[in-house]
Amino acid sequence: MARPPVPRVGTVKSGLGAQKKATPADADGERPKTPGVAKNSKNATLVLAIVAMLVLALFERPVCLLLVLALVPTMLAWLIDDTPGQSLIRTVASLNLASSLPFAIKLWHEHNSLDQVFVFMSSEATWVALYGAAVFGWMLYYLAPALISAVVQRRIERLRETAIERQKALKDEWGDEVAQ
Amino acid sequence: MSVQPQANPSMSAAAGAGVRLKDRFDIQYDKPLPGLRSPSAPAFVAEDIRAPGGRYFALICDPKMPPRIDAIRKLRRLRSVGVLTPVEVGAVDWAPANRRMFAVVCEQPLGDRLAGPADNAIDPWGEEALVAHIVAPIVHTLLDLEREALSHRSIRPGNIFFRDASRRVAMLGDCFTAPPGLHQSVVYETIEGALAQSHTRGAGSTAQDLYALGVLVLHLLSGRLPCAGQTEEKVVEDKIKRGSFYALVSEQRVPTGLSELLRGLLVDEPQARWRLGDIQMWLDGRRITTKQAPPTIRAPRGFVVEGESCETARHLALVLDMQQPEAAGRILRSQDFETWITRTLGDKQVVEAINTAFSTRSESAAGASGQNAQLVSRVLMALDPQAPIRYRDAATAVDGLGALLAVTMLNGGDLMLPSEILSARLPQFWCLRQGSGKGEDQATIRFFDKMLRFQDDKRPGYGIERVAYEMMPGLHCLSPFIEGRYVDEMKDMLPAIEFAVQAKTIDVSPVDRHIAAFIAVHETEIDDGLLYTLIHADPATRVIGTLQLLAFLQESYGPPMVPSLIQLFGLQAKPVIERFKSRYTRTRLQAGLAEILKENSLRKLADYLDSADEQRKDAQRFQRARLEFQQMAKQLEKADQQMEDLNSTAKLAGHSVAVKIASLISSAIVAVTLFAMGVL
Repeated sequence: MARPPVPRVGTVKSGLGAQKKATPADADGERPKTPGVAKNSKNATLVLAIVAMLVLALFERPVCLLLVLALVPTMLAWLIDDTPGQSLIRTVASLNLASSLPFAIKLWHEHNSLDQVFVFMSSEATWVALYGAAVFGWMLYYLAPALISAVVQRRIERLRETAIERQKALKDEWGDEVAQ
Repeated sequence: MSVQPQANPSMSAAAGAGVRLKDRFDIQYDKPLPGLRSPSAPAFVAEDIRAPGGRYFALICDPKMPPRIDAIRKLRRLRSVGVLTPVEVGAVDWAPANRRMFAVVCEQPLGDRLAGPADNAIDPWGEEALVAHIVAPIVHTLLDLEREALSHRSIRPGNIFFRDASRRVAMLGDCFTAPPGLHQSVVYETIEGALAQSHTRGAGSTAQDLYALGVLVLHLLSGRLPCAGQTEEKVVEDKIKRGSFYALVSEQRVPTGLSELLRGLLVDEPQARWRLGDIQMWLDGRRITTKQAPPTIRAPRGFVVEGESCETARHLALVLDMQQPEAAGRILRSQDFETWITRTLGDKQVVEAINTAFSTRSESAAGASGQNAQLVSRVLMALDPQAPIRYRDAATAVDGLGALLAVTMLNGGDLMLPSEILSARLPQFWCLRQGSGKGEDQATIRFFDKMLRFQDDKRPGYGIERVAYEMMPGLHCLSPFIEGRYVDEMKDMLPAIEFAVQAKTIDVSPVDRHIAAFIAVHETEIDDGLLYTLIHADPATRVIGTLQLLAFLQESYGPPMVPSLIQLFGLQAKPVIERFKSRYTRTRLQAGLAEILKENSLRKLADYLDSADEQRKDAQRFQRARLEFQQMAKQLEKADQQMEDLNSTAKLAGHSVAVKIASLISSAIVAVTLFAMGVL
């Protein structure tokens, strides 16, 4: 009689491991991503961006140049960001792109030339507009956790104080026995 | 604890140097009546305030000797003119003794005593006068007493009065101020009575009175006490050796007319002794058939103990009793004793009884010496079944055991002796040795079995104290707190305790073992569970138990005001209030305590401190508080955990929020741009 097959190492079992411990990321609706998956996603974004830029360079070189110059903060974010959901890239990029859009449209509609790109870039207001939005994104990325932490911390402290005061009141009335 | 004087000058005070008894008799303690006194009860003038002019006197009983309460009850019911009868009884504040004493008020006899109390020389009486003026009236009185199943036990010249000034009709004197036969000379006692200690002779029966009547006749005929000049031991030994009649009559000439009476009365075997009916017949001039007493078995050769040759079992028992228990034990275990008993004496019943005595298992706290003493006691009963229980230094009739216990307690004696007698089941052995098989003996055995159970039970309300009050129903409460208040009725208990608290005799717990046992005997409605709380390990339970017990007494017997006792409980209320878990409840109860104390009601105080509803609410609220405390603890744990996770959580949430805000602003910028530039 043939012996039943021995389960191989790595075989998926039901039961153990099936119940995954909840993490804070679950609460925010973000799917947990392993570092490898995150890196793959990040690389995919890069590839997609390069392809898009190459296509754009073929047909609209001025716009492409404008975007290359404008999206430097996003590129920096791409380099720095190691969060699973690429929050920094998503924060900075969206604002960076949105702030670049008026210049890109103006360039495309009016003087779609490389000279015009340099005209734009020679103006301080352009840099302030493009990079100000990106800086705002950076600030938003770093200040939002601190702000939320402060708010939540205050709420937890209030709950703690309420519980401690109630316990003290109970002990005051019933003595230490109430804690046993 | 200190014992204070326990007379209350404010209570029952009569006008002048006297005290009032039951709102009727004023007893003048500055007017003694030496001619009417009893040996242990001085007499004083008593005046009936309802009917002045009566001739009453009061006997003030010695508090160290328990009076015969049962005899007092029967005499008051009987109302015989032939015996001194109590008109009123009760405890009074007796200033000369600085305590309360038991007083018995009687009507003064019209005639004087037959002889002085010392029973010394008396003018001899003639045969006819003796029969007519002494014997006949006493026999009629004894007939009355027998109807009430009462024995007088104090028939002697010094305790006989005359109902008339012309000394023609005798009446019996006091028989109730001391234990039965206490003041009787051994001459007037049967052999059994003479062998017992004077206070433990027991009430016995009319047979003992008739024996004493016989001695009285002999005494009055000659004018001097029979066997005068002899020691008590010699008198008893003579009675045993020669029989009472010959020992007492001795060289005295007995008139022929009285010889038959004396022979009938001075028979040592109770069943062969004349009964009252026989004497009546004799008084009526009829001839009495002589009853044949079973012959005393005499051994052909005496058993010699310490040079004394004993020919009868009874004599041997007497001689052995005079030995130390160890020496007696050695004799009993000797081969000579066995040979003499089985072969020389040859009394099968005695042999059988001795075998039973040896085979009865002895257990004693005193060890081997106690077991030996028990064996000696049983063998003495086997040799002389009619004799009292003789154990170590005690010699008591089976119905005198209560008096032994009471007198020992009253005089601060060693309670081990009566206790060991009960533990060794000697009274039961004595009853079985009587061999009558009567129901009375079986009832007595059951009674002593019950007493033994009570004695072995160490809880409050039981123990040797309970045994004392069960065996002596009229015994007053012997608690050191209130002994001087002479509490013999439940209605006097609470006032006595209140007095003791007031006098600071009681400063902690007002109920001791004596009081608990006294209450348990006299108040059957008291639940044992309440008595057990008196020794509970928890002080609060003890206080509540005591309070509930005394509240019951106040409800049942009064008095309505017990301010000192209330204050005592007020001081002890702290541990009771501390039982409540809620501080607010405790504070509320403590604050309201003063108002409750003012009401002077133990019941209200007990209900206030021991409210079941309050306790239930307190317990329920405590449970809820515990649950809430646990919930708070969990909430704190959760908060701590949240605090630990705060950085990572806030980071994730903050980044998410940043993405969303950036998306929102970007969308707005795009939309505005598109609109502004006309793309849309």
